Amino acid sequence: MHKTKLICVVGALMLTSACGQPESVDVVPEAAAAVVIDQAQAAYELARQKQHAWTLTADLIESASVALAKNDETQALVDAKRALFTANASLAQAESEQQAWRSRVVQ
Amino acid sequence: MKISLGIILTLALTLGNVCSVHADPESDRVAFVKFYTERFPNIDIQAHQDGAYALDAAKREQWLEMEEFPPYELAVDEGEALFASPFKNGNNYAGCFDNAGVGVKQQFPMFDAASNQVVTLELAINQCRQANQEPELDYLSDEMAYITAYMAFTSRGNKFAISVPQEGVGAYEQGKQFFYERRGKLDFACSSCHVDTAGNSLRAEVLSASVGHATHWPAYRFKWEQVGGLHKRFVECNEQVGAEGLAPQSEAYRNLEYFLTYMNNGMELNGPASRK
Repeated sequence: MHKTKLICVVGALMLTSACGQPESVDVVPEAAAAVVIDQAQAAYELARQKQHAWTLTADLIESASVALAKNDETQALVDAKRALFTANASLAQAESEQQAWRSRVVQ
Repeated sequence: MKISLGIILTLALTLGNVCSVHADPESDRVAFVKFYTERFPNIDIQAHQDGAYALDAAKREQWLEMEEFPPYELAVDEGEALFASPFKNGNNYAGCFDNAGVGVKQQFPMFDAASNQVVTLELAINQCRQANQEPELDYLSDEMAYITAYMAFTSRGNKFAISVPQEGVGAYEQGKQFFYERRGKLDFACSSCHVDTAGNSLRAEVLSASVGHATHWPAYRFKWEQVGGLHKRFVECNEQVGAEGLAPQSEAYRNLEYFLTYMNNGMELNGPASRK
């Protein structure tokens, strides 16, 4: 009885999880660039709050936005992805430095 | 019994780790001075007030020639006039500071328990203006630079003697963390240049020691073509390693100044100064 219940619960969870997956659609590059720009902007804002933002991220978000405004979707996506990469790197830096700085204190 | 021993050992190790990081400010300062004394055994610790010019004889010679006609002289004169100018209500800056504001820069930054924050000289100047119903000055303005240049000039020869009361330890520790935290795409901390590689060259520049970093501000930087404060330099340093600079007089920068200045306790003030 216990086993049956467990199977039902796991099955229901798997079903819910599968239904929650986004549909695989072909996103047009313009839309993809805009989405990545938004993601990069959000990560960049978080890095700023942590006082760890990189100047490069802001430059790349700006150039991606400019390219998108000029309908250069390909360049916009390239810059947006780079912006997102650097924003995530700055967040990873902020996280690791929470402890890493301690090892550098002059003793 | 084995478990108890394990717990005690773990606690001891954790405590030891915490203590090694949260050393008291005076222990930090003593270690700081010892570090630079050992790194530069032929240079008197006080000489680091001249930054990189203490480390490079040729650059020092050029700098001393520049100092014969100090580029910050006009700023000091302007500052003296501004300092004495009455506010609309008839008061002036002298009423806001000890000793009428003459020779007091060595007291700053200080921790103000009432507002629970580090108060730098620049912040105190704006607090003075606020108290006298005057608009605050932009921290990057010429007027702020001139007034601080004058106040620094009257404080020359005095020694830093700032304190970190119990309430200020948090701010001090945050400043210390900022100093040692890596930032920017180059992944550099303040300490990367001014502790780990102090005395080495970065392109054509010699990297100065952090001991002495707080003594000479504001400074006329030929690169800026004007007198500017320490926080302007913080912004520049951060940006040079690819990190976004923070707002001058932001809490983080004031805490950094607090830490840096405490490391300079006992050193003579020699501002304003000139730098390349």
